[in-house]
Amino acid sequence: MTMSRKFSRIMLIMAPLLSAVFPLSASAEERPEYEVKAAFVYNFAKFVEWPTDTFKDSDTLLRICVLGKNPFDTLLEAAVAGKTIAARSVVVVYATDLGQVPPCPIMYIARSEAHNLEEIQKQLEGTAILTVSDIDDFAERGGTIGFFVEDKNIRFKINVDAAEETGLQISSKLLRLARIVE
Amino acid sequence: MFNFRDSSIRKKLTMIVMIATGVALVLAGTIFMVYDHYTLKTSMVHNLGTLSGIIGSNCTAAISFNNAADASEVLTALKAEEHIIAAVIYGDKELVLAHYVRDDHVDNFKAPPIDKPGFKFTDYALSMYRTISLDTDRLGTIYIQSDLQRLDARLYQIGIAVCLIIICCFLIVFGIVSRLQRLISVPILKLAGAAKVISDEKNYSVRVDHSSQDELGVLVAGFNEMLTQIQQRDLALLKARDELEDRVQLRTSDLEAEVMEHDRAKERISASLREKETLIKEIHHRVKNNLQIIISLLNLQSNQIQDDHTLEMFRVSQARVRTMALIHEKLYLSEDLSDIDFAEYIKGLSEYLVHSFKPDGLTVSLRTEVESISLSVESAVPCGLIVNESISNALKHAFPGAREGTITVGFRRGSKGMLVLTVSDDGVGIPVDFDLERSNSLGLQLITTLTKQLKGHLHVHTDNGTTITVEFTDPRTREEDKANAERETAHS
Repeated sequence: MTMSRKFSRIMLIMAPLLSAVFPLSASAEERPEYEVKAAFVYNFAKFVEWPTDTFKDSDTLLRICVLGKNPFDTLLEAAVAGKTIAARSVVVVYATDLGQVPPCPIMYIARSEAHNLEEIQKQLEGTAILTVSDIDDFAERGGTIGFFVEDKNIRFKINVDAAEETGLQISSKLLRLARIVE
Repeated sequence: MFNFRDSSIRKKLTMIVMIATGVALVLAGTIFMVYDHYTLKTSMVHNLGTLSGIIGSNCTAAISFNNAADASEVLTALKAEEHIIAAVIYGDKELVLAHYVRDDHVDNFKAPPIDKPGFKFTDYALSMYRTISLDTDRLGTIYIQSDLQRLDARLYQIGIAVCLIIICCFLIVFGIVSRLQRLISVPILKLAGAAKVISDEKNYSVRVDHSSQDELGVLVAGFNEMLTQIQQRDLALLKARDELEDRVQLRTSDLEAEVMEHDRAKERISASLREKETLIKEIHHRVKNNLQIIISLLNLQSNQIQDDHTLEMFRVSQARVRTMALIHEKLYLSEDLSDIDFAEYIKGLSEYLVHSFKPDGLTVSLRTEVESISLSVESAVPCGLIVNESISNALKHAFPGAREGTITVGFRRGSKGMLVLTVSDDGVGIPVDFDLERSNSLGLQLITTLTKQLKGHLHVHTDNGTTITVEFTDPRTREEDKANAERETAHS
């Protein structure tokens, strides 16, 4: 009894040390899936350049639009809270219908809209919007960035052609991390 | 040990320049090396900063998406940079995302705990922490560690280069100094050589051959000028000595002539003196002979006299003349002709008188207490006559009917340069009512007159016989006293 308590105490002291020595063991899978995805969505914005006419000089906001049933709860709002990209405050807007969506450079398409994907893409065609989704084979199906899980790690695919068509420029650093879909 | 003080000026000059140059070169080399070292360090920090910036920038996506594999791949680019020992990327929550370690440090490397941005030099490495940011987001930190081989290698290279440069400069400077030091050392060595020749050989005709407008030129010119002056002075001295010798010779011959002249004069004087002495002796001899003739005439005359009284008067006169004759005899027999030994004279005279005038049947013992005093002829004659009269008187009157008597003649020095002449007897003495002044005795009258002539005093005592005392001063003694008195006044 005393032995096991002592051992657990030693372990408590050793834990930070062990984690410092083997930090790579703290992988993303320990975090909730959508917390990681929320962070990724925000990070994508930092490695993408939109065509110059996307923003007006007077724009002070960069909207991230979540279309369909919100899978993030408040995690995406938490991830972007207080953050800015190119001096624009990042805000999250939610919409269930594409017609309700205000102009936004990033659109996260929830799984709930999987059946409606063709329609949505059709409507968005020719607009410089970075579309992100965890719908299966999203990138293969014409989306820009699609999440997938590999070895319990969340990864993403990028459809380079789709991006080029809409005039988006994706940083090579980001491309290096992604699986490229052509 | 090398003795700097006593070494040649050539060596000294070379040494001074070489030491100064050496110090300057070493100092410059050291400063250059320190500066180079500092510059290289700054450059290394700058380069490492740039490298960490590039690596950090390439890692932004990997950090953002927590992609360790990509971060590691970015870090593998550091293999190209041989001097990088290790690098670590700290990502979300300051945890190590990826690290790179050079092959030779794999075993003993541990990622250090994260630290503030900045750099630090340790003995073997330069470490740097740098923040990785994207836009305004602080993504993480990169740690990068570089070895100092470049620094050591550069230090070694620069050290060798500086040493080579110093040695080359030193040799070149030595070559230049060896030639240029002659500008200063050659005239000084010439001067020293000339000075040595002068001190060894006393040869002042040596000159130093050097002409320039600097201080050395002035020194050499001054040295030569000094030698010229010394030569001139020597010449003048020699001339003066010769002149002096000539003058001395001249003066000596003058003096010799003077001495010869003096000697001749002295000879003449002594000859004339001898002549005079002979003359004086001759005069005294003749006076004595004449007096002797007078005595003989008186003697011949007295043979015809029948009257006893008259005969007596003749005899007395004869004695008086003899007294004087005796003086002249003594004078021409004496050495200096002017003085006579009065003591001897008195003895002789007294004995003659006692022998001539002693009455029959009377035994007279004569005592003479005379000091050895010389008298001039002026005093000797009256003194002799006084003695003559006194002794004659004593023999005639002092011892009537007696069988024995004593006559004492004394002559001594009294006080204050006076001479005291006494003639005493132990006879009956002079009657109490006898008046010396009015006496008709010719003898006593003569004594009184002669005393006056001597400028002396006469005393006659009649206690236990008669004592006649005459005190006087000899003219010579008077002159001597006068001279003494004058000397004393002059002294005081």
